[in-house]
Amino acid sequence: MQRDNYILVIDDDPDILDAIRLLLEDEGYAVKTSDKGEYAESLHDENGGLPDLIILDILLSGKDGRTICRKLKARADTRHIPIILLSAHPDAARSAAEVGADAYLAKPFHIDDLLAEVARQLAVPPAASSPEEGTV
Amino acid sequence: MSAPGTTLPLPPAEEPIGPAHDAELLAAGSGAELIALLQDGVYELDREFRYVRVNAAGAKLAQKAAQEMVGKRVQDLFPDAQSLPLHEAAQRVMHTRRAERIETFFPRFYRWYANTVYPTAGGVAIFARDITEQKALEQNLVFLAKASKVLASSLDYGKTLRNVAKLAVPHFADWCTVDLLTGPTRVELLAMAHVDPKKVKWGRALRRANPVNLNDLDGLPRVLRTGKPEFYPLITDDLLVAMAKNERDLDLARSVGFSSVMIVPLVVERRTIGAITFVAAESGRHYTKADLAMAEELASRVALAIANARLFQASQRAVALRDDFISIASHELKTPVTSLKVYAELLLRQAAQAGDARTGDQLRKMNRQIGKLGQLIEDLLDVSKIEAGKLELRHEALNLNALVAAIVDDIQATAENHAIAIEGAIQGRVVGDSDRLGQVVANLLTNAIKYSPQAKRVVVRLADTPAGASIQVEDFGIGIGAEHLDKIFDRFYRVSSAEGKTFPGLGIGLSICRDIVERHGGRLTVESVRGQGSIFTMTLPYHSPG
Repeated sequence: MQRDNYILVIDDDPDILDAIRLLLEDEGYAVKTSDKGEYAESLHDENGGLPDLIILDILLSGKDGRTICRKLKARADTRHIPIILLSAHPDAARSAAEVGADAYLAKPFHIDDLLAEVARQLAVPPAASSPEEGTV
Repeated sequence: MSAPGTTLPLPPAEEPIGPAHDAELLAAGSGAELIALLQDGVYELDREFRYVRVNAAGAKLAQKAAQEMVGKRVQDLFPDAQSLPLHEAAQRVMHTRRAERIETFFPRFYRWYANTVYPTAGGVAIFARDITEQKALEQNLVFLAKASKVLASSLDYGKTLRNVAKLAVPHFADWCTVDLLTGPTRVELLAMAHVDPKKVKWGRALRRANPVNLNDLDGLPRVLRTGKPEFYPLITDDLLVAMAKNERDLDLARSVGFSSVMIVPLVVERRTIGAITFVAAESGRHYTKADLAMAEELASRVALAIANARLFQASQRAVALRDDFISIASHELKTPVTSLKVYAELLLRQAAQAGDARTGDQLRKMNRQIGKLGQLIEDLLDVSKIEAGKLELRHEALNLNALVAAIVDDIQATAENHAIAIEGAIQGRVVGDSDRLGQVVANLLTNAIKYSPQAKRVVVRLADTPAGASIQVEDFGIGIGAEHLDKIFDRFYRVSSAEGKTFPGLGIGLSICRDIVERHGGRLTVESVRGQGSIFTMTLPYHSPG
C-alpha cells in the first residue's frame, strides 16, 4: 500500500491547528490540517492519497470526533490509519478506546508527549489491507 | 311508636332549632304531640302499608299534605316505592318484627336520609332524619382524599388533573372542567369530564366554537382575572337571561341545564394560573357553602401539585444546563491553554537548541505557570463534578506500591530541594481508581514540598493497618496551626502564614482529595504542629472478594 507520508490534523480551533502543525513540521513531518470533521469522512485514496496518521479532536463543531473515528475504522480503505484522539473533555478517555482509537491525549498536553505518541503510532507497520482485496 | 319518656336524638337542623322550638317540645310532654313537633319525618303504617299518621315534617318531605296521605296505601301514592330499598326494609320489619336502619337518597331533591324502621303494635313506624349535610360532607371528604391521592401519584399534572375531573363526576358535579392560563390572553382547556362521553364531545365542541374571552364580565374570565371564586348556588332562567350575551348564548346555556355552578381559581404564589369549574345540571343539585369550601380546598391542593411539578421541571432543566456548562467550560477554558502550552514548549526547545539559557529559564517559568493554570482549571472542574455528583470512579485492583513510586518519581524530577523517601509497603488488596488516587498522592506531595521550603526531605510511609491500607505523607515545614486543622479540608479554605500571606492556590485541592478518598470508603486525616511539619494520612479499606 502506498505511504503518502503526511499527518492529518483536525481540530475546530484554528490556533491549536496552527500550533500542532508548527510542532509537527518542526519535527520533520508533512502536515495537512482541516477544521472540518467532514474532511476526514470524505477521505479517499486519490488526490494526494490517504494520511499515515490522523490526529482528531473529539469536540468538533457539529460533529463528534468519536463518530468520525468509528466510521474511519469501519471502512476497509481507512481502517489501517492510526488515529490519535485529542480532547479537553474530562470523560473522553474512556470512550476513545470504545471507538477504536489507537491513542488518546488529554488537552492541554506536553509537546513531548504528543511527539512520542506520533512516533509510536507511525512506527507500527500498517495493518494488511489493500484496495484490491474486498470492497467498501 | 316509641315509648313515652324515651329520649329521641335531636336531628341536624334544616332550619335552625331555636329557643321557641325547644320551648314547644318541652311543653309538649310526650307521645303524639312530641312526634308532631319533631323535625324528623315520622310515618306510621298499618299492616296493609296504609298511612295511619304522618307528622308535619314527614308530609313536607313527601311533598304532600298529611291529610292526602292518611288512609292511602304507599304503593298508590308512590308507585315507584315498591322497588325502593326503604319499602323493602319496611316489608321486612313488618314480618320480622325487628327494627332496621337504612339510608336513602332522593335524587329529585338531592337529599339523603337516615331512616329507622320500627315495628309497632299496628304495623311499622318510619323515622326519617335528614342527613344531607353530613352525607355531603362525608362524600366531599372522600372525593378530596381520592383526588389528593391522584394528584400525588404523578408529576404529570395534565394526566392527574384529567383524572381528578373524572373523579368529580357524577357524584360531586355533572360537569367538571379545568382551565389553565398558558399566556396573558390564552386559556387552555386542560380537562373536561362528564359521565356521558357523548356529552364531553359536545361540550368540547361547544368550547371550540365559543372560546373563553378573558374580557367577559362574569364567570370563568372573571375568576381568571381576579383570582376570586364565583359561586352560583341556584341558577334560574332569569339569571341565564341576565348573563347571556345574545339569543344563541342563551339557548346554549339553557340546553346545558345549569342548576348550580362553582368556579374556583388555581392560585400559585398569588398568581392565578387557572380555574376548576363544577357544574350541577341534570342532577338538580344545588351547591352549598360547604361544597364551595371543599372546592376551594381541592383547588389549593391542585395548585400546589402544579407548582411542585413545575418546580421539579425547572430544577431538572437547571441541572441539565449546569451539566452542559461543565462540558462547555471545560472545553473552552482548556482550548487557549492548549495552544499556549504548545508554543511555550516549542520556544523552550528553540531556546535550548540555541543555547540561550536566560530565555530558556524564563520560558520554563512561563510553562510552569501554564501548567498551574491547566491544573487550576482541572481542579475547578473536578469540584463542579463532585458537587454535581458526577465524579465517576473506576473500580480496579490497585498496586498502591507501584502507584506511589510512580508519582514520587514524577514529582521528585521537579523537586530540586527535597528528597522524597518511601518507607514500607502495602500487602493488602485495595480496589479503586488509580488515576484519582494518584491525583490525591500527588496533591499531598506537592503540598508537602510547597509548605516546607526550608526542609530537605519528605517521607512517604506505606503500611497495612487494621483500618486498611495506609499512605502517609510527612513534611518538616511550617506546619498547620491547631485552629486550622479541622477546616483545611473545607472547600476554598486557605491557610495564611503568620505574616498574613496566603499561599497561592484556590484552596480546593485538599477538599477534592478528601472527596475522592471518602468516595473510596476511606479517610483522610492530618496531624500537625506549627513550625514542625505535618503528617497527612490516607487510609483505604481492604477489598474483600465476593
